[in-house]
Amino acid sequence: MTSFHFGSSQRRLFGYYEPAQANFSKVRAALLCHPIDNEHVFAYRTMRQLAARLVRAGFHVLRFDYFGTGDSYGDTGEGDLASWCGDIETAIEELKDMTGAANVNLAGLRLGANLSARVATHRPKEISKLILWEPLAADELTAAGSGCPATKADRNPRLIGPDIVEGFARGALSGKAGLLPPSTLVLLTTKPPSPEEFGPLAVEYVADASAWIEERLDTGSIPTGTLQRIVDWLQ
Amino acid sequence: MTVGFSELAVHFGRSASLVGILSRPPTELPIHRLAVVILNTGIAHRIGHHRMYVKMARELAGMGHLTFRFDFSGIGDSASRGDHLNPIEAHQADLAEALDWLTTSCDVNEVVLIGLCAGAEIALRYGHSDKRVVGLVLLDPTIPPTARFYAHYIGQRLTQLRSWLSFVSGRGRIWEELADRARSALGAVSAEPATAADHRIRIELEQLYLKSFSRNLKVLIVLTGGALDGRQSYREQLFEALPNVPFEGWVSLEYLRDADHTFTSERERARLQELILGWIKAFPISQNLLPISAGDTEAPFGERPSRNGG
Repeated sequence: MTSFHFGSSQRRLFGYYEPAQANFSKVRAALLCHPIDNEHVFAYRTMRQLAARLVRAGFHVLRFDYFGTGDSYGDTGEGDLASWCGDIETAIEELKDMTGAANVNLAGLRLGANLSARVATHRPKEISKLILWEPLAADELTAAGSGCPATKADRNPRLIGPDIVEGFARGALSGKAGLLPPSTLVLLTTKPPSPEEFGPLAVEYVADASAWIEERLDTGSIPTGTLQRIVDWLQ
Repeated sequence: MTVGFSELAVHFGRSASLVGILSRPPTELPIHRLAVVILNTGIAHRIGHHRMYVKMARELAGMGHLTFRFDFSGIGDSASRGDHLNPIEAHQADLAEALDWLTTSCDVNEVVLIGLCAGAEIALRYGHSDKRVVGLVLLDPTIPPTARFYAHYIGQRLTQLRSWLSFVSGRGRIWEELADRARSALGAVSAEPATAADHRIRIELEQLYLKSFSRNLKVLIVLTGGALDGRQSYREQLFEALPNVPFEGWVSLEYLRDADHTFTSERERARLQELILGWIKAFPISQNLLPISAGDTEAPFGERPSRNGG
């Protein structure tokens, strides 16, 4: 396993790469896309555990932080949704280059799901399977632009324009189903979806703990049922 | 935008199983002899709540200080130790390995530790035992309750409408809590320990602070007004809770009334940052410079992995 920086000198991104634990005949790679803000902090342990399970299952796994988040360069508030999609594309290239994989699997949690979906619509042939874990609804996406939920003044106006929110929000996914990879799974853990919410997309509900809430940090517990479902589905 | 730093992802420790980020000053800037190590808050990974430690580390690097944020074993990206140390011992061992790496790789021998909550406790436990540690920044460290704390606490609870309703109706936990707190308050007033646990904690804290004092460690303590229940409720609580420690004239104490425990407000984070940067800038030995430029030690850490390799 290696932690390292990648990307251009103007946009250095922090990544954590773990190679598959065993030799498998087929190279399989997975890119994990984090939430942002404190959801990133609260879910970090869960995402690390997901990576560990995928590595044991034979995937080369890259986790990374978007520009202006986590350990990547850039100040908090410097990033925006469109450029973070660009970061995912950079990470896909990095992962393909490191592993020799022709395609990668994408798994995004919360905002990472919204961003992954947007990227997948642009590069469907490069994405083997796509997991969208509890993508943000429009109002949550708006709040995610704040960088600090308690203070509206902190919000980054570039993130919360209605056109941008609508294009990335959970509610927009059903309309984009035809553009997403055939193997796309929406995974929900807080409550079952309404019947028509995701249109033709495959949806599964796993009653499990929410990985991105502060309680995860207090208890240290991991939503293991959800993680195992993700690994099984990507196999 | 934070400018004037570069960062290096580092694997270190006995089996290179600990992960940290070293923020380095720009190459044109002389490196201060005084380095800074920022500790995890509980099990939140090295960026801290609201990414506060990233900004702090980069600002410190911009001032010329090597600054290291790392994850204790089992937290963030660091693997569990795989030995039989209890959590307190493991934290101390991890911290020693972090300082060893800084010494070996960057010629660092003078360090300030920064920790919030559990991180502050780890810093306080460790600081006096390692001669490389010359200062501590303790954010919301554990402070034993005092009679005045209980008076504040109960008063605040009773001013809340829901608590009043429960109080008036005799329902809910407020009655039980009031009784418990009153018993404890009476214990504190009479200088008797409320419980054996309280007494043990008080004695242990007192000893740790006295050891730090005897080592002449410089100490900055920052308390928040919005700390979690059961912590401090006023600025002087630390002095009153541990009367045998000569805090006054030794530590710098700041009380940020409007800040909560994790510095949710950006304004309060900026205040904290300003406090810490100012305190470190005024550090007595900070003008001493390292003879070498850290960054000559980059390989093999932080390099892009080879194909399929770790």
